[in-house]
Amino acid sequence: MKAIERQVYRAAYQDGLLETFLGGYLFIFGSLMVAKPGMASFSALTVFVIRPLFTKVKNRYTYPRVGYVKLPQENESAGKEIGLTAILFIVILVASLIVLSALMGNESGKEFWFRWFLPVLASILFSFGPLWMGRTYGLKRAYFIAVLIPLLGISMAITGIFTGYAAVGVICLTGGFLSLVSGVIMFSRFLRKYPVEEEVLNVSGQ
Amino acid sequence: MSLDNKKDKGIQSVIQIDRLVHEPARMLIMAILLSVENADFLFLLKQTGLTRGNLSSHLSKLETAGYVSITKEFVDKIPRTLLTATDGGSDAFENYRRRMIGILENC
Repeated sequence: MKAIERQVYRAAYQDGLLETFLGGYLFIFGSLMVAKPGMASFSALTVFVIRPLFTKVKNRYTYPRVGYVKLPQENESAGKEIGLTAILFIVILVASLIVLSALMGNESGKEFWFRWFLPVLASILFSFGPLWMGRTYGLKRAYFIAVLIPLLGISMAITGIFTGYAAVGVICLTGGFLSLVSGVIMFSRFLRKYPVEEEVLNVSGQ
Repeated sequence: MSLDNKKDKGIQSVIQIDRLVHEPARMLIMAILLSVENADFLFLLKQTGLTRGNLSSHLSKLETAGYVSITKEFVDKIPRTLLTATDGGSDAFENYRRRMIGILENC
């Protein structure tokens, strides 16, 4: 049953649209973080556009080719787990800033936090999304992105090329770009591999 | 009860297995439908690799037995036929699975 479940999940997301949309969102978020960190939270508003657009594209391109499937609700609880972990990480980030500032003094504590804590912890946090995708949908390429993002965060902290919010922005931009490119390639392959089929159901032999 | 008697009972339960679920194509259809909330005909067609006629015939049998329910809806004016495993179908599959495990353990 587990093997069948996994196959069904893979089949449902073989079009690469989830990666494309998630990558697109991360790209927007990352761009805002680099340009204007204060505006980054507004990127959450794009969910109101992305979600219906995602459904529309699925209806238009995916379902006529490989059919429609609604996955069980259990998956949403896995999404909630990720959400809670994200909140926990944000709490850790804020708490670490307060603790470091208290221990090292306001200035050097903040500097240490922006140079080391923020890029590394943010990169770990952003790797949870692809990790969840890899675990739930069996996407190997998502694991690759999940490993690459923390490595990027660590290398940024060591080299100091980007620090603070700019580092978070670059991490999101890179992760988003990779996901977007991988998604678009998957989608174009999917369109070529599966032509549109007309659903014919004649269950009762009519 | 002696060990041999127990084994005999296990062997005899082979003839009590649900033949409707036992057929490989229908077993696969049920397994797929039980791992999702619902799916349409085309999705099952792609996943099972059966022909349209074959899949229709198996679905018809499963629907008659009350293991699968078929509903129709319209999405953007396009008809979509949704197939869902019923509670009865879920129970039947679970019973079949348990019985088969029991039989194989006794072999």
